[in-house]
Amino acid sequence: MAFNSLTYFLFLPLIWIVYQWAPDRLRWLLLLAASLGFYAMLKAPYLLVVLCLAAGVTFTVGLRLGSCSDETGRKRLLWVGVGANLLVLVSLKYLPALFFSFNPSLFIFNGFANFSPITFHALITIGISYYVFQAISYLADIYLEIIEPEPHFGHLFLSLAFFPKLLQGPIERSGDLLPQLKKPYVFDYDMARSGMLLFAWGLFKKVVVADRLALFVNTVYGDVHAYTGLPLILATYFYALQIYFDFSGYTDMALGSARLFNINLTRNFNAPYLATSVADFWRRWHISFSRWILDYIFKPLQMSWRGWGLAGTAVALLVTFLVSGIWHGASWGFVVWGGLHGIYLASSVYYKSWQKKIHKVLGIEKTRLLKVWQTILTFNLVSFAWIFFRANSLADALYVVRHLVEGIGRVRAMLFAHGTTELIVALLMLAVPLLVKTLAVTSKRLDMPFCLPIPLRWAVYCLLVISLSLFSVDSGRAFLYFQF
Amino acid sequence: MKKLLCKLLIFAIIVFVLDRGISALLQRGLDRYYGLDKQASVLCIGHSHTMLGIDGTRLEQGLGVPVAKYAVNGANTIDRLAMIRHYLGSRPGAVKLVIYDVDDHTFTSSGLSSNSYRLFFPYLDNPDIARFLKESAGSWDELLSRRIVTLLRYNSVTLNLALRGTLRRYDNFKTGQVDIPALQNEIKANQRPPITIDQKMIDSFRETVSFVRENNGQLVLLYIPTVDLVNNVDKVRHEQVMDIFKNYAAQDKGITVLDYNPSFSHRYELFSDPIHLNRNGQHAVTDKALIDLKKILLTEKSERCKVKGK
Repeated sequence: MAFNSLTYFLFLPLIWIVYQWAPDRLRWLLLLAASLGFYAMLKAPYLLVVLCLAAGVTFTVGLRLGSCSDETGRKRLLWVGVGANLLVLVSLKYLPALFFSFNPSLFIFNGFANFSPITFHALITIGISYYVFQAISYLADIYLEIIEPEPHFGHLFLSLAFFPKLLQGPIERSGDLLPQLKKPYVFDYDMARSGMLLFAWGLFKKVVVADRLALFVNTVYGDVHAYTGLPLILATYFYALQIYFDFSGYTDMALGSARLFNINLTRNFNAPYLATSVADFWRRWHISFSRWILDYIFKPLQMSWRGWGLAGTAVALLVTFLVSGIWHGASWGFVVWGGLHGIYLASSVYYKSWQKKIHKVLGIEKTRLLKVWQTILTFNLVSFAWIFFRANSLADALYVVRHLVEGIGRVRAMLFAHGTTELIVALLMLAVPLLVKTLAVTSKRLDMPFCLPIPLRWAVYCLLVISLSLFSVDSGRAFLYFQF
Repeated sequence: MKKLLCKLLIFAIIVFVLDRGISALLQRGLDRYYGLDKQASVLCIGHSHTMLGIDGTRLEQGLGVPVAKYAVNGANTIDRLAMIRHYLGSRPGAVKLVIYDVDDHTFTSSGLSSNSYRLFFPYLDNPDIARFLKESAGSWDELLSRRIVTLLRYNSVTLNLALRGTLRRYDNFKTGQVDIPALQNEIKANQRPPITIDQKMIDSFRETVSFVRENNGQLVLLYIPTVDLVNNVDKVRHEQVMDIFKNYAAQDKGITVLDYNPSFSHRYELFSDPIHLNRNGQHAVTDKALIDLKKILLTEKSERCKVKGK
C-alpha cells in the first residue's frame, strides 16, 4: 500500500479513529495488526512470515545477549543475530536477482508470469532492508550496552514493523522508538494538526513536484542516446531534485502519519542541497541511513584500521560507501555511485587541512562567497554521482558522462516533450517548496504556517489541497526508494 | 479531539465547495473548447491531427453553421466511439455531418497513447463516458477518487484546453517547420512506428460508422495530410488501410473519403513535425476542406429536399 494511494487515505484515518477509542493496553496490538495488514497489502503474504521470523530471532538473541556476561559468548550471539538478519536480506534482495539473471524462465514457471523482473524484484524486497537494518542496530545497541533488551515481543515487533516507516524508513533506533510506543497515549491537538499538514506537504512534494520532474527526466534517461549536451545536464539536475522531493516527500508523509499516533520519527532530510561539502551532504541526506552506516560500518572499520592513520580512515570511508552502493542494488551503476561518494569523502580526508590553510591565506575563510561556491560545487558533485544512480545501465551512464558538454543539443525536444503547460506547471510547482524553504529560513519561524493569522493559514491549507487535486501527476507512480 | 474534528469538518466543506466551483469553471472552458456548449451541425472528431489540422472557427464562418471540434490527443477508434456517443447522445438530431479524421494508424492499437482515456475524466458524470471509463480505467480507485474529488479529473492537457476554451484561444500555436533531414535519418534507422490493422479497432470503427448513420449523420472520413516521406514508409499497408475506408464509402452514399495527402503531403513548409500541420498548414487544409464540405452539405440538402418532395 503506497502512501499516495486512495487505499492509504482510507486506511490511515480508519486506524487513527479506532486508535483513539482503543484501550491503552491494546493500542500496541492495534498498531501491530495495522502494520502487518499494511504490509500484507503488498500481495506477498510470505513476507509476513519472514518479518515474524526475523523479529522472533532478533527478540530471542536480544534477550540472550542481555543476560550473557561472557564476552566471547556475547560476540557469538551478536554474530548469530546479525547473520540471521543478513541472511534474510541477502536471500530476499540479492539471490532472486542473481537467479533471475541466470534463468528468467524459473520465475515464470513458478507463477510470477504477471510480474516483470523489476516489479517482481521490488515486490519481494520492499521494506526488508529497512527492517533488517533496524533489527541489526537493535542487537548492536544491546551488545554495546546502549539499550536494554526489550522483554515484550509485541513491542519489539511493532518497533521494527511500525507501518509509517516500514517501507522506506526512517531507520529508527529502538532506543528512540520503543519508549514512545510504550508511553500511554494522550491526544495531542498540535501533534495531530502538524502531522496532517506534514503528510499533505509530503504528498505535494511527491505527486506534484517529483512526479512532474520525472516526466522530463524519463524523457531523456529513457533514451539517452537521442540527446547530447544541455538536455543531459538538465535531466541530471532535474533528477537530483526529483529524487530529493520523492524521498523527502515520502519521509514527510511517514513522519506525518506517525505524529497522528503521538510518535516522533527521525528527521531524515535537512536541506541536503545546501550542503557545503560531500561530508556535510551525508549529514543532511537520508540522515537515519547515514547514521546507520557511520555507526555500524564505518566506525568499526576505522577502529580496526586505526593503525594506518589517515589511510585507514580513507579506506574505511571508501568501503563504507561501496557497501552503501551495493545495498541500493546489485548493479554496477549503484556500485559506481557508492564508489564516487567514497572517493569524494576519502580524498577530503587528505585535502581538508590544506583547504583550510588555502582559504586562510586567501582571506576567504567563512565568507558568504566561499559558502555559495562550496554549495554549488557540492551540488554538482552529488548530481554527477546521480547519473550512475539513475541511468538504466552503466553503458548509458558512461554515454551521459561523455556527452555532457556537447552544446545545447535537443533541449527544446526535452523541455517541450510534454507540452508547454507541463513545463510551466513544473517550474511553478518547483518554485513552491523553494519559496516555502526561503520564507522559513528568512523569517526564522520554524512553526510555519501555524504562526500565521487564521484566515491566511486556512488559505494556505486550501491552496495546498487544491494544488494537490489539480496539479498531481498520477497517483499510481511508486516512490523511488521503494526498490531499496 | 472534538475541536480538531469540527475544524476538519469545516475544512472539508470549504474544500468541497472550492473543488466543485473550480471544476465547474474548468468544465465550462473545456465544453467551449470542444464545442460541447452548442448544438453543432458539423462535428469534427479526431485526435491531434484534427486538433492541429482543422480550424473550427474558420470552418464555422465558411459553412455558416455551428461547428464543434471534439478532438482529443491520442484518441483511438475506441475513444472516438465514446466521444461520438457522448456528443450525439446529448444532442439527438442536431449533427448533420461528422468529420472523422483517419490515417494509416487508425486501426493500430499500439500506436496511440494507452492511457488516453484519462483525458475523458472531466466528463465522468456523463453516462456514456462513465461506461467507457469503467471499461478503460486501470484500477478501482482511479475512478472512485475522481468521483470524490472532481479536480483530480484534470491533468495538464485538459487544464490547458479548459483555459484555452475560457480565453477562446482555439488557434494552432505551432509555427515551426518539420526537420526533414532528422526524419530521413529516423526512417533510415527504421524508427517509424509500424502500421498494423487490429480487429478490435476495426470493430469499434464499424460500430462508429453504424452509430453515426443510424443518427442520420453524413460521415466524412478525412485524411489530414502527413509528410509524404512518412506515407511512403509502408506503401502496401497504407493502401490496405485506404481500401478499408474506400469500401465503406462505396457501400454507403452517406460516407465520403477525402484524402488530402496528394495536395499537401509534399509541401513540407506546412508541417510542424512529420505528422502534424503548423498554423499555415491548418489554414490551407481548412480552406480546402471548406470547399469540399460545402459541396457535401449542398448535396445532402438537395437529397433531403428530394425526399421531402416525394
